[in-house]
Order: sequence, then structure tokens, then C-alpha cells
Amino acid sequence: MPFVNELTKYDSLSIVGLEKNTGKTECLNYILSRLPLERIRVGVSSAGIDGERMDQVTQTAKPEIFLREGVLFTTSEKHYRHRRLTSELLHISTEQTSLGRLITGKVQSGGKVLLSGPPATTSLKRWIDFLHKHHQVDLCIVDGALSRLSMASPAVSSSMVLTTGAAVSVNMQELVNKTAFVCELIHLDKSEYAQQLIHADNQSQVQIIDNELQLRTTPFSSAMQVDTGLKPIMKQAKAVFIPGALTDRFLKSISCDAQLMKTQIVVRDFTCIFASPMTFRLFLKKGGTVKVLEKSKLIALCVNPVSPGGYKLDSDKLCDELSGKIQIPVYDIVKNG
Amino acid sequence: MDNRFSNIMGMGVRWFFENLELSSSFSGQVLREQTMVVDAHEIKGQYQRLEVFCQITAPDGAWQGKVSRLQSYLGQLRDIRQSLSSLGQSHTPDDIELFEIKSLAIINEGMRPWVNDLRLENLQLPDLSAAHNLLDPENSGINSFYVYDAYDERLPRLRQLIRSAGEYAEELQYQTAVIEDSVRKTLVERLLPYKTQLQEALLMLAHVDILLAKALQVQRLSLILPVADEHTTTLEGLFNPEVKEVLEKEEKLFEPIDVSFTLYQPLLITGANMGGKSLTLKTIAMVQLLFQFGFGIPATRASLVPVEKVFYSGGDHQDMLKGVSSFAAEMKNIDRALTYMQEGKKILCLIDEPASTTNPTEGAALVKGLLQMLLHKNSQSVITTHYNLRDVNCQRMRVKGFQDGKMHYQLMADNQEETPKEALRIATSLGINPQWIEMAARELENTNIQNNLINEPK
Repeated sequence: MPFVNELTKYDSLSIVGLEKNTGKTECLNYILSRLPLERIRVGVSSAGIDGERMDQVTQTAKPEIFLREGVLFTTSEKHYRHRRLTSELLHISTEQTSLGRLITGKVQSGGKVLLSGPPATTSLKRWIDFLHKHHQVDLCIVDGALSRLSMASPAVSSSMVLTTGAAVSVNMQELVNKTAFVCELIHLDKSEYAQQLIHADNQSQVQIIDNELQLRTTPFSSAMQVDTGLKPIMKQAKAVFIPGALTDRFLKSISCDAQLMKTQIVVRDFTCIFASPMTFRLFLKKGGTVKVLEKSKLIALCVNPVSPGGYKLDSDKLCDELSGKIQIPVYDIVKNG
Repeated sequence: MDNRFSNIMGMGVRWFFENLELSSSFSGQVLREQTMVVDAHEIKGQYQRLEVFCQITAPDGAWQGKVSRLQSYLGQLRDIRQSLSSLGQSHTPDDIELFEIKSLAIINEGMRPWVNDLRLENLQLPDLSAAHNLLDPENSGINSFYVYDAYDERLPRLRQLIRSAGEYAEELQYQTAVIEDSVRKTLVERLLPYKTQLQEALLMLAHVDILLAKALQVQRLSLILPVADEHTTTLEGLFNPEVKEVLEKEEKLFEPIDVSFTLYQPLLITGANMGGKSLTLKTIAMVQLLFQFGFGIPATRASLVPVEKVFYSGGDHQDMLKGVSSFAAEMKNIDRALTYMQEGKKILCLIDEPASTTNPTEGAALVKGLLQMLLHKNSQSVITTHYNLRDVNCQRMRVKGFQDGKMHYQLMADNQEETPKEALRIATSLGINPQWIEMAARELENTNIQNNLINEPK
């Protein structure tokens, strides 16, 4: 598979599912079994609890994570004790999770393990830095938990693989639309003012780039205050940085003013956009621009045509429909793996 | 409540604890579990060790430039007391516990030459090289652990088979697991002779961490090492670093205080409001506790008398939940201190404005009575008051007070038996309604005239 080679160019990767049971773990196993371990050192962990043998919500079978010799992995104390492989224990972190401290080990002879890793984006980022710095890991892979897209934030990892499938919707059209929209958001361009905005002192305030291209901090802390004074400030700006979420309400509120539409809207990354597809697309169609501070590279889209209830979509048709809408490779790894 | 460090964190001691740069949180745990040292000889020993640590970490000391490396060793110290004490009982440790034991041995071996070179009494690290070798059969010297191939000749072959199998090999995994389990069992038996040494090393390393942090604190905050005295507590240039820090932020100066008091005779501190009496009392309590837990002392010179308990009464005692008035709560509190003394225990008794919530006549009588109770006891007591007390057998000091439009917090010897009447002056400086002050002044004048008429010989 070509996309596995692409992965080795990045230092971190998140695997995220649009929904539970979209084949995320299967996808991780697929990637782990094909990465050239003789060339690169790989570390793997999970965002929160993952790798249960049974899906805790839908009670369906889940594939376990198989690790080959040489891979570094981080999991909780509890799951380290239950591992079914031989591994050399390298480090015990002081960080506590609900399942005990986090243990990092190196696989000596392959086998299976349950992964439960750092529970928050900041601790995930710390974990990635730790493996890079202290264990010379080239690629850190984060198995995202439960459709939590925020774990795929570029603040954590530089590349991502997205999984989607019949679990999102058994209506193929709806599935394709939903997936395409997320891909569209991930592909949003990085703002030309990103360098300036990223160095702003107070990232929790609305920032603007004025007509003289100077960075200015406003007294507003969110886009919710759009109707109470943010608009006049926006009119004199080239770009406005919105901390937190970008919502329908905000987009609707400014899309009725032609002058406001000229201002570029900047959000931290795609996970901050909570607007509905319709409002968001309408905003862009009317001439608005939305850009991001940080962008991660979407490397591939993996699909699982089977829903947890057993309903099965036509795999080839689904892949065709999706590749028609988005410009990245689409795979059904179960069928073609 | 016993005299554990974790129980005496009030009075500003917490600030010292929080400002202690311990490398490992386990050392903090050990410190919190320590009980107050009462024996003068033992206190002396503590400060001798701290003095050595101050010397070696000083700019020209033996450890200069090495401290951060030693701290990174100590930073890996974990609380594995549970794993160590269960060694040899029916429980077989898993890889995580064995890793932690190995880490402990590595830290110990790394620190041992440094610590043992100091030749300090009660501070020698045991030799754990044999235990370390046992957990590092391949002599890698790396801080990691698994059931190494070297432990059992069957392991390398089995693991090779698993590797070449490619996918998950249930039967082979099972066979390996069985062998690994038996290896761990043997390992425990071979580790057992070192159990006491491992436990000793763990606590000793925590003590090294604590001493190192205390020594660095002494240098950072310009503290001094006090001496123990049998009768008299003398504190010169005493300051409260926490308050000093706050004042310096407001560009104000902390005026250091000199104070001295002895066994058998209570010290009475009088003085104006806002004169820092309560702060002085709290700082004395803090210094006494720091002394008995072997910390550096914020003063220029300090000698203290070790006591069995530090007793402090001050502030609002009211406890609405218990339905007790502030007066009742305070009385009961002081009564406890008197009981301690009557039991013959040596304590430091610090009472801030006793009986100030009741009427002045009875209040003054209560304080006077209290001072008599405290006289000739094998304890030290310091009392502050507003009441004008005459004819009491006690040592007296007063706050220098409001002079040249400025408050002076120093204490000075006081032989007059008059409380200085500064309340009105202070109230004026606070910008209080002048009419009120004027009326009060007139009232005071009238009282004085009446008193003089009464006292005038007929």
C-alpha cells in the first residue's frame, strides 16, 4: 500500500474515526504491520482507553492491537500487566490515569496488548516529545479514542489518517457528504498571518490583523460577543482570529454584512469548527474566507463498509464516491488488505 | 493530632515546604510523615548534617556543578515501600515492580560514592551492587527491565520462534509466559537477602534529597542554622520570608525583629494595633517548628529551646458548627495548654490577645491570672495583650509603634507598666471620621481627670 510509505515522512500520526466502529483499530493494525521497522523506530499509544477486546458501547468484537518486535508502546499499568507479549520496560511516568501510571515498553517478541494512553491533548503532546527526545522514536502513532476529533488536532500530531464507514450512516449519500465535509475542513489553508497570530501573547482573546498588518488584541474572549462590539472592530481588520469554536451563529451573523465578509476568519485548527456543513459552505460561497493557524496533513481515508448492526454497503461504490469528492487516497483495508 | 510534619503546616511552615525544591515527590511524602524531633542531641545531629550539605553545595563546595546531576538521579525516586515490604510474602512481583527495584538499585549505586564520601553518621547508603547485577544479567547498565534471555536457556529459542511466526502465536506465548513466571519467582528468592538494604536505601535517598533541598533553600533565602539552648530562646533579625516577599512586591520593607524569652517566666508583648504583634507571634511559632524539623531559620542569629509541643492560640475561635462562642472556644483552647503544662510537658505556648472578646475588667483579670499560671512552669510562653496590666511577674516587651508618621514593628524592652495610647493616632492616620476621633479624645481626657481626682490624696 502506498500510503504507509508516505507516513514515514512525518514524526507523528493520529488515527481518528468519524464514529465508533469505523475500523480505526483495524487501520492501526494494518499500518503497524506494514511500517518498515528496520528503517524507522515507531512508538504507539492511544488517546485514553482503547484496544478493548469488546466494544464497551455496542458489545461487538474489536480487533486487538498486534505489535511487532522493536515497537515502543505506552499503556497504563493495568494494561501493561495484562499484555500478551514480551517487552522491556523502559519508563514509568509520574502521570496518573484512571488505570494507573503510564508505562512505556519496547517489544522484544511480538504479541498483543491493550492500549490506554495519555488522556488529554497536552499530555499526548508531552508523550510524543518524550519518545522523540529520550527514545529516538521517529514516528509516534496516536490511536484516537471514540470519534474524538480533537485528538487529531495539529497541536498534537503532524499527520493523520481518518476512518469512516457505515457506522457513520448507512445512507451512502449522507456518509459521503459527512466525510467529505470533514475532509474539506482538514484541507483548509493555513493563514498567511499564522506566524504573527501564533506569537500573540494572549491566545485566549480575539486577535486582529489591522489594515496596517499590525497584530492587535481585542477585549473580546470569544466569537459569542459578535453582536456586542466585535463587528465594528472586524470592519477595520484584514483578518480576525477566533479563539475556541467557530459556530453557525457567528457565521450567520457576519454573512449578512458585505463589508464584514471581506475579513478573513482564522481559527486554531479544523477541530475548532463546529458550524454545520450548510452554513459553512454558504458562507464560503458568499465570498467569505476561513483559514487555520495550524494544519495537519491528511494522508489517507480508510473505510469500513460494515455497520455495527451488520448492514453492509458496497465497498467499491463507496470508495469511488468518496474519491470523487476528496483528493486523497481512499481504501477499504479489510477487503483489499 | 500528633506532631507529624503534615499536621503542622499552618503558621507559614507550608510556605517553606512549598519552597523546598525536592527532586522527588516521594521525598516530600517522607518529609510529611516525619514527626517533630524533640531531643536536643538529635536536633544537633540534624543540623550538623545540614551544615555539611550547605558546605558541599556552596559555590566552592565539593558538589558544586554536580548538584543538578545528583538531583536528576534523585528525581527518579518512587514510593515503592509497598512492593519492597511485600517481597518474600506469597506475592510474586511483576515486571513493573522489578523495574522499580532495579531503578532504586541504580539510583543508590549512582549516589553511593557521593554520599558515603561525606562520612556522615546516620547517612550511609548500603551496597546494592549485588542486587543490581541480579536484575541486570546482561550487564547493559541501562535502566530498563524484562525477563532477560540470560535468565533461562529456553527463552532465546522460544522468543526466536515467536519472532519468526510473524503473527500472534498463542501456544508459544503461553510457554514463554510460564517460564517468565518461574524466573520471576526465583528472582524474588535471590533478592530477598537484600530486602532490608533496599528499604534502607529508599529512605536514606529520600533523606539525602530532603537535606539537599534544605541546604539549597538556606542559600536561596539567606537562612541560618540555629543552635539548641537549654533555657533561653533568642532570635535576632527574625523575619517572615513569606510576608517579606509580599511587602517587597509592594516596595515596602520588612523590619526584622529581635526577641528573647526563657523558661519559667512568660513574656508579655504590648503595643498598638497594626504593630505586627500577631505576625511576630506566628513567626515565632513557625521558627520553632522549622527548628524542630531541621530547616534553615529566617534570622541573623537563633538559639532555641526544643519543646514537646508548639501551642498557638489566636484569631477568631468561633466555631458556629459546634455552637461555641469565640470566648468559650478560646478558653477551652488555652485550658488545653495549661493541662499540658500541668502534666509536666515542656511546651512553647503562644497566645495572641487572650480574653479580648469579653469585658475589659474581667478580661484583664483573666490575662493577669493566666500570667501567674504560666510563671515558674517548665515551658516558654509569649502572650500579647491590649490590657493595661500592673504588678505582674513577667518579662515585658512592646512594639516600638507609631513614630514620625510611620509604624515601626521592632520590639523593645518595656519597664513601664502602661499600655501606650496610640489607638487614636493610628485611627487618625487611617483617615477615620475626625469627629469620632475628637469625641473619643475628649472622653479620654475626662476619664483621666476623674482618675486623677480619685487618686489624689485627700
